[in-house]
Amino acid sequence: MTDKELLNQLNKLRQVVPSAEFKAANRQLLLSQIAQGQKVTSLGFAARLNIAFSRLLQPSAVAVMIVLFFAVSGVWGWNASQAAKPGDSLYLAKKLAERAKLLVTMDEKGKSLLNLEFAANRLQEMAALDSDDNRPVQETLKNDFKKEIGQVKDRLAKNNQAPASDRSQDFQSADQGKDNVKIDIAVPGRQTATSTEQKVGLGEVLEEAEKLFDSGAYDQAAYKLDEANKMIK
Amino acid sequence: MTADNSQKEAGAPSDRSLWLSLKKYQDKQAFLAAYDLYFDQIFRFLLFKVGNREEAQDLTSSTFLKCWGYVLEGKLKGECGYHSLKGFLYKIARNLTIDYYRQARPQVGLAEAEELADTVDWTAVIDQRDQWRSVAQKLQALKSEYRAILVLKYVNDLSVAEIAAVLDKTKGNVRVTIFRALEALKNLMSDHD
Repeated sequence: MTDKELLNQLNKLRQVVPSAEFKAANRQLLLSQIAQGQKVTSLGFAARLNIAFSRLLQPSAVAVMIVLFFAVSGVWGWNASQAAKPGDSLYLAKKLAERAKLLVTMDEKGKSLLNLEFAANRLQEMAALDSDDNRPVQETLKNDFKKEIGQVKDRLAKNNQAPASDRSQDFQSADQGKDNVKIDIAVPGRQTATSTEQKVGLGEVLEEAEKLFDSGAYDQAAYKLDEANKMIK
Repeated sequence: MTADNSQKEAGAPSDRSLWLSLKKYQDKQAFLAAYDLYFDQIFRFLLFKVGNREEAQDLTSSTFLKCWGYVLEGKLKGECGYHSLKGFLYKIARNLTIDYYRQARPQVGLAEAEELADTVDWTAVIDQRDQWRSVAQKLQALKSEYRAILVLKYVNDLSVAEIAAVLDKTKGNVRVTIFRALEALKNLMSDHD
């Protein structure tokens, strides 16, 4: 490397400069202090804080901070609310999140699975409660559990009714002007009977889960909910 | 555009006129003009001493605040002994660096405090995308005396007389040190190639 090249490289170090924000903020501070005729020999805490804030309030820094705030608080809030127990301040957030999940789920099967998931949550919360916890909380959890199970049952009942009416329509249309035509209606009948059996079975499992919950056998109730979950899937 | 270039612009105040305005009239506008003119190069000098951008910025700020204090006390000449505002600012900056290292290691003497700069890994402040990172990294391998003198001479454009005043050396000594520092850097760069 020649001397000229070396000096050129050294000259490039002139590109090392302080941050423009710091320089401007510090100049402003200096101006305000010397304008008051003050003799200042070092930056006070307030002045350092002022400069630090001026760095933080840059538009890009603010945007990054906002995004980070929402991301961190969202993740933290979600995790914290999932672990919330009845009586905690975040328990309401947990319940609202559950309702929201249910609202955005469109298909009936998905809704039923969610109801079972929430019922399992109530089960866990009930099991985590100490025996000397107050009765109103236990009552609320019990009601919530039954409400979730009730919704699954309602949906089940609706499903049981719907195919029956559909089937009668099928038979009517099959009968219309087709007296001489043989129609095999046994096959769909058999299929419906099978699915109805499954639904009846599911209803029984849910009933059992409720009874086990009432008797305080939470582990067995959870097992029944798992069984119901598999049946729905 | 650097402060050094801006000084060469038409209408920019000379160092001598700034020094006189501050010495005779404690002129606030002259002080702000000096701030605009010298802030970047004082920062660079301090950055290559302490190796930390935030610390260098704070020390640069303290340099100007201290300078204004001396202006108000009428100690512009007595403190520096050299009629140059730029030299005066560098002198304050150098003393602040020594104080900075002595705060960390109170038991060390003045000379040893400056040598502590050799232990600083200031390449951390260099952006890897910068085209001058190679020479900056090699500068770190030099001893602090060589590094300071090269930065003052070839980065911040101080004259030999100004460097001599800032570093408390004779002009002859400064010339010899510049020559040796350049040779040392050249050897390091050749090793790199």
